[in-house]
Amino acid sequence: MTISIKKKNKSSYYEKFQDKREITIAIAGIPNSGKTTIFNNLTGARQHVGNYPGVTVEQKSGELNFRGYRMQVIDLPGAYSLTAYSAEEVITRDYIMKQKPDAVINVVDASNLARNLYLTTQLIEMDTNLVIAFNMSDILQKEGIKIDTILLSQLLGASIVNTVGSKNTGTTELLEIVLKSVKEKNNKKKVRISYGDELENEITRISGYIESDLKLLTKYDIRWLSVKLLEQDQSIMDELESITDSENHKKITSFIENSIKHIKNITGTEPVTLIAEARYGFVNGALKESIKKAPEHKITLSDRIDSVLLNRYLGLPIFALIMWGIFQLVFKLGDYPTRWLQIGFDKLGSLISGAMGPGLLQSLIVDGIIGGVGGVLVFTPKIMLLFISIAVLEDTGYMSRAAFIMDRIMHGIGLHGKSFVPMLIGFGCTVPAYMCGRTLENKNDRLITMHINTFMSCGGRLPIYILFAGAFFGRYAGNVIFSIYIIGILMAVAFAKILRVTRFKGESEPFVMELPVYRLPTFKGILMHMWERTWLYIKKAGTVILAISIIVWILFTFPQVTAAEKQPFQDRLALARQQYEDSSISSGQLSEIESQIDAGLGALKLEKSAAGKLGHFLEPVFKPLGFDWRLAIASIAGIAGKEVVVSTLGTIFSISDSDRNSGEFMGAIKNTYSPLIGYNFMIFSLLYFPCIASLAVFRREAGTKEMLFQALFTLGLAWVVSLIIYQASRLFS
Amino acid sequence: MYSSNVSDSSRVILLSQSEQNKDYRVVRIIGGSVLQSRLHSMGIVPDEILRVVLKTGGGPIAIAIKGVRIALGRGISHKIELTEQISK
Repeated sequence: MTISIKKKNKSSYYEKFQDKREITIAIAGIPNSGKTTIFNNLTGARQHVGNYPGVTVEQKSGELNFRGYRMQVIDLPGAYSLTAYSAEEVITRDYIMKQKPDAVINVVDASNLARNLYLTTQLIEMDTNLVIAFNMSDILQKEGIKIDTILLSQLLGASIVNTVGSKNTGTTELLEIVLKSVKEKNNKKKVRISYGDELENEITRISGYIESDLKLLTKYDIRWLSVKLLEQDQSIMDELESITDSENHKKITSFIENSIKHIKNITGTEPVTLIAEARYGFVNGALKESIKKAPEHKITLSDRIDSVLLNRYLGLPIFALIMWGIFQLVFKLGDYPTRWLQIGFDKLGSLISGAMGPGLLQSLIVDGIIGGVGGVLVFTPKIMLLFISIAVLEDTGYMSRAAFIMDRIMHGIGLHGKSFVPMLIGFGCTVPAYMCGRTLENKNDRLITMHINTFMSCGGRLPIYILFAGAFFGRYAGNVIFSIYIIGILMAVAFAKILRVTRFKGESEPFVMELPVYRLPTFKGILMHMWERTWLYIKKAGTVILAISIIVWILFTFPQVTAAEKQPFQDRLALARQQYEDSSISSGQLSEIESQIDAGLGALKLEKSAAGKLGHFLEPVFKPLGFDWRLAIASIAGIAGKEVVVSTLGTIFSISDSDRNSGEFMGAIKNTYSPLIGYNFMIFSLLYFPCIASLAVFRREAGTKEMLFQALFTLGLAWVVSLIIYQASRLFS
Repeated sequence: MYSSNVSDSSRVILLSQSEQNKDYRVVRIIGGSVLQSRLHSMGIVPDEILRVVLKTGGGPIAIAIKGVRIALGRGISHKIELTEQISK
């Protein structure tokens, strides 16, 4: 490979001088065209996953070396069109427009060209250096459909390469053609899509007006800009507003409004529809010339599967069964590796403790960092299993059916079917649930779904319910816990509606979704899908958690207990050890005394610490809810994770670790608080945000402003609801 | 190309009034340019033939158009005008 390049360079100095050694290639295509498979085939494992700035759409890129060139490949998000409809479409368009990749590979599903080439027409109009990958071309052969690809490529002004993504065929040829088209970029024939006389006249008029009358300079091709304006493309209109002064902007807007009115008058149709018809017309014309036998769209296996899975009576039970299965897989099966990891982290902690000996640094590493970061990383197996499940649902095509089935129910609360899956996951863990919100295209829908997800009682809150319900309601504990879950769901429903009419106004997204043909997912595809999402969780949540864990540790550690305050405990310990040596107490009694002293010292440390002082300081805030400083501290500690509420209360009530599960703990709670306060505390714990990790993820998915809203809104809500419950109950009793 | 509208004399109905397993011809989409271009990009343009694949009581409707299946919510189904297409 290298030799041939060297030879060529020798022979043509000029060409070498012209040659770019680095080539950027963007991959575009409509959803389900097999775009990602082609991307994976091209780049293999050398991929980076990140987010596009400002949005939650993933940006995947990869690199490869080919014929001495270094190629950077960007997998653009799937888009049906290049209007400003969704974030995906805007990203795809902006990337091509602003980054100007050396080549664009348009992956099309060869079995349905009439529809796939609609996006292609828009790529042609953007004057990109286009190479079309006829993906799944084996289906054409199977069905005996013959396409004159040479003729079609002339009509479209782009080279065509046959590929079969799932079998990794045509990949090298695709690269060859891309390289060739980059080198011959300048002698390419330009293809123009004609919109018919009425539209063409207006396009010319608008172009002329912008260029000659207003003398406006834009970075856009003037014809393209004019078409976009006739399409009433919102993001282009916004951009135009930002680069023109208000007077000119007014002139342009009224000029275009007139054009649109004029077209409507003579044709009786909106320009946006005429433009779409012309594009489809261009595609149909090109296909008619180049295809001998048109593919038939008959009832397929996919339709037969749908007649069962989307059946009016069977659809919902089957969906419920699948969801139940995923729940079992993630939270039952996932429990084993989680426990192994927990044991591993505990072992690591005690190993470090042993090696370092007691001290501040040891406490920071073991209690702060390993306790905190480890506490988040132990969720990784569950997250992986969850993402595998989601990847299978997505890659088979079932995800859109799930949305179809749930749409009617979710419609009742102003959301659509796609919101259901993240809500369900929220019962397990809110962190992956927030991340699953990505499947929603509409920003408002996504934000509402994320904001109400916090009311789906996550697994971390369960220990609190078990402790308090167990302490106060004995036999009825199960029913009481169930009532908390129901209250959470009702809150979610109520706030879905409230947020819709207040902060996220406007109709919910119209529900339009392709039901893709069912496909057998590839093992490799599932694993890649799962891993890239899991890695984001480990990397990003991990770094934030590390910082927070250290802060929490500092709050609970400083100021420290002085030596003089420690003295009585040490004296008692020394006395007990003396007694043991004198054989006046047994080894069992000694270890019991030791653990009591540990617990007592722990309680003292907590009271002296900044967190303890904060608890006392905040007591007036919590008092109207019936909570004392102890519940206040526990709630604050619960910010780190709801599981921590229980362990903190354990520390406060001087319950040593070994006694946590015994009746003693519940007894202490029962003796200190009333059932009303107990229930109220459960409600309070339900309502405020799940944990700091969830907030970190919220921020990454939705930005700082929304994260702060989530934090303050749930804290405020928890406080108000608990206040009402406590005060109202006192009034009536 | 522009004479797409109601060249057919048969009665215009809404997608929400359609019947399962019947073929229809798209007449037009009522609504703003955003909804229109969204539906156009999914293949729903005037004169295109669609088949109502699945109607659920009160829920979304699944149609087949240009060889793909598309789910449309109830709200949108009131915004798509059709005429019945008698299959030959």
